[in-house]
Amino acid sequence: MKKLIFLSGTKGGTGKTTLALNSAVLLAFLWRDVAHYPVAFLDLTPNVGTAALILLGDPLATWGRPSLSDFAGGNIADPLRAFYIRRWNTEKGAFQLVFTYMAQDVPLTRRHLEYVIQMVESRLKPKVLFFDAPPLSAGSPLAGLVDYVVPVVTPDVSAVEATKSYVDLVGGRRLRPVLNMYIPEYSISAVHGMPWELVIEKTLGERPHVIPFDKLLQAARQALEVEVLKLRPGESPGVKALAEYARYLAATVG
Amino acid sequence: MGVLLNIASFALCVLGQTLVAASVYLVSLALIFIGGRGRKEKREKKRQVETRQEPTPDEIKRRPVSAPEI
Repeated sequence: MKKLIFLSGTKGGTGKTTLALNSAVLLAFLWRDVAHYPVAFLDLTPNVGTAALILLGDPLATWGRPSLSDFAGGNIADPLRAFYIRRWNTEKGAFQLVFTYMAQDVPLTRRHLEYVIQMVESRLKPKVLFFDAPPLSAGSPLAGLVDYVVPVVTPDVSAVEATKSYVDLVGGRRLRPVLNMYIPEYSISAVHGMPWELVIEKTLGERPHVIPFDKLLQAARQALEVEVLKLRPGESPGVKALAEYARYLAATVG
Repeated sequence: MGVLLNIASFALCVLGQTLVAASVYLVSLALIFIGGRGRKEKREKKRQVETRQEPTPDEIKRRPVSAPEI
């Protein structure tokens, strides 16, 4: 089992959750015949993260269900009791993703995380475990627990700087960075005096994968839907770019 | 072009070339009419493009799930 995280350091709003959730769903679909639970997803955002809300499908669905907060708070001994299956039926067959979330703001220690990872690996046996965490700073319990890190930035100086400062925070192999919410009309950084793609390449050491700003992704988010399951690449350049990145992940991580 | 010919026809009329002015005037009217119709068609086409809007969050919500293209 490979462990992967999308990271922007202390910067929020760069699209980590969108990237993580859509990549997880795309890989779960791609590997639907390879493993029973090809992808596991840990939403570590306190008080129910967006990814968990989308996967649960209803903001009220968290009511009365055990979550990882219950494991962290000592209310449940087996963390897998806090895992749920989201299944989709499509014209090309059914596929599923297993996930968990934090219903309350209870600190999850490194020991807790190690135990959860161990349980997921031994009992669910996924090919990949995705972490979706809020902005991270020094002292994160995830440090040393991930195999791959995807730096995610937007065309924003502070996002680039925050990601650069914290990209090695959790360890793991650095994958191709993502330049998200890119607006082709504003391709040059006024601060650096060069194209954003070059700024990212100079800062993070590799040419980024570009995901253009796409109103349809925003619309799908408002509807609490997984973008790649409701929008076609032909109508949404954002979905097209997400699928391209998932193919890269499948080739690199799988 | 039609408007220019129209102005030219009035100028010819003032100069006493009424026969030539009348024919130029008729040509200008025809050009103005054709030009106006073309503009109207272009406007309608533009309106059609504008009405083919992107799906709203509500429409996306109601769409069925389809196999992702990967």
